[in-house]
Amino acid sequence: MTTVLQQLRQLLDFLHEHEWSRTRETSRFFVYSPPASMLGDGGFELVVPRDPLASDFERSLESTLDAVASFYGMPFSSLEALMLPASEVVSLRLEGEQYHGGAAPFSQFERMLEHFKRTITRTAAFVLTDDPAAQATPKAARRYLDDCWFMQTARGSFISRVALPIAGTFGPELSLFTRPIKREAVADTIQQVSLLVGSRVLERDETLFTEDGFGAVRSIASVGVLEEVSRLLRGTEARRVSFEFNRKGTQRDVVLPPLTAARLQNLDHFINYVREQVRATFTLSVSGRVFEVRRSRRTSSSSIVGVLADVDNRQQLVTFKVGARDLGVFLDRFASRAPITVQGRARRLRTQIRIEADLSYDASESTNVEPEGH
Amino acid sequence: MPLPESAAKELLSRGYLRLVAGQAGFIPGVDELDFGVDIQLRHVDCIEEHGRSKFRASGFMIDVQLKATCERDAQFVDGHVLYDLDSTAFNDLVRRTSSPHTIPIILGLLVLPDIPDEWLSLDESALLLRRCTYVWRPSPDDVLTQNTATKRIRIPLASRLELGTFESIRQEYLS
Repeated sequence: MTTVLQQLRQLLDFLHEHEWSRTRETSRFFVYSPPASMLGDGGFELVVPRDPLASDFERSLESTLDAVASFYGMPFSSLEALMLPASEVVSLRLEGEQYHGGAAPFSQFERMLEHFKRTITRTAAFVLTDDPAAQATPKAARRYLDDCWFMQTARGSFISRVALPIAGTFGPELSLFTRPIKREAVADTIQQVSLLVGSRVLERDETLFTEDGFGAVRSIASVGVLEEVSRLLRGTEARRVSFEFNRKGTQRDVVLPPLTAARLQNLDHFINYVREQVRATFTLSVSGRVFEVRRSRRTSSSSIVGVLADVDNRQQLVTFKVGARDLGVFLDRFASRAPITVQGRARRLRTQIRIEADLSYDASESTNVEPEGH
Repeated sequence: MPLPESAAKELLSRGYLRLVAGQAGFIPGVDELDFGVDIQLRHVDCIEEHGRSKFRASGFMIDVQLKATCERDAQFVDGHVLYDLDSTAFNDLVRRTSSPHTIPIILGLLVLPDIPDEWLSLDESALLLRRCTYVWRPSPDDVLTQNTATKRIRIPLASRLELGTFESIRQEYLS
């Protein structure tokens, strides 16, 4: 959660970085002049409250933030995003009778906050596990939530804002083989999911229920994330919900259509479809090169092997677990870079294909076999 | 009169303040939650950008609490206007002013003639609102009152709301 002192620090840093100059300090305020290129003859003075013990410090700081936002002609949330360059500010705007005047009934606020948090955690879990059907939440996903900042609620219709970290990557132990997972993938996924739900799912776009249509959105279709979004929309009991994503001053709005019972049913229908699709297995037989071999867990005797293979006319990572008995074969292949054929019952994840059952391999030949149908 | 007298007085006090604030470089506004504040005034300053003048908020605010009364309900004694302010409002003002703060709060007391027909007149040449608004701020000597109903305040007659009033307060707070 952002404290007012953090906000003050960020504002002062922002002014410094944007070449504002502090012209004087009074007992109550720091007084700033704009950059010389913008000053002209106007003699504009920006006041920044400096006494955090003042009873109205928070309101006063908010007024200054408003003034800076107005100075640059940008929405308040854009300014916050500029002040938090390592974050994406996600605003959730709720509209409806009960949210009129910028207040929210406590029970709805509580539900909204809980499901907003869980949406973030579920999305982080989806990004980290790569598994759209997984229910488990890795510790790293919970830690990601700890790094998010719940921000001041804006005026107007009821708005909650969270700053999601986008800089850096998740730890190397969480990387998908040699590809580290960027933290911005969480914010990207939330944005893409809200766009998918708002523009297609709630409107029951039938093309989503075709093989090609679903294939195009598979990388963002997670049962856990969609379920939380559904709970979030229902829990608020809002008539309208919109998301605003602001990264480094660039804002994208995703306005959902009015939340009618029929539209929410469309969402349920899609979630059921996603559940079927992401759990579906198919027989896979491919030939490729061993990309990496790693221990599945520190305490486990099994290892995870990644094979880079041509599936559906593109290079994809096929992963599977092997025991100590078979590990040597894959280590040899990894060292020699010779191809190997693997087969089994597989399931498509967010970015990879995982063989989950009936694994067999053939190290004696290097034929390339197309996967069978789903 | 189309409105109850008290409502008409309140609207006139707001209108009076808005007109003066607008002329003095402050934008009047009302927050969703008033916290004892009837009108917030946001200071705007001029900046030149690419040779064009633009007006932007400077971040400085003044909170205003408004009251309206008639001459018969106020007393004019020894160069002061005496007014019985309700105790809650008095204590709010004292509490705000006596603790460290950055947003000044003032009381604006509009005193109107006793006869409602004389309050406002307008024609092609002028809009005339009779009498004036007095401005009061607690002094360091003022302490919270135990009175349950009202607390009498004394406002110097010279403390009238004028075009320079808000800017004087701003300068005081920026010094």
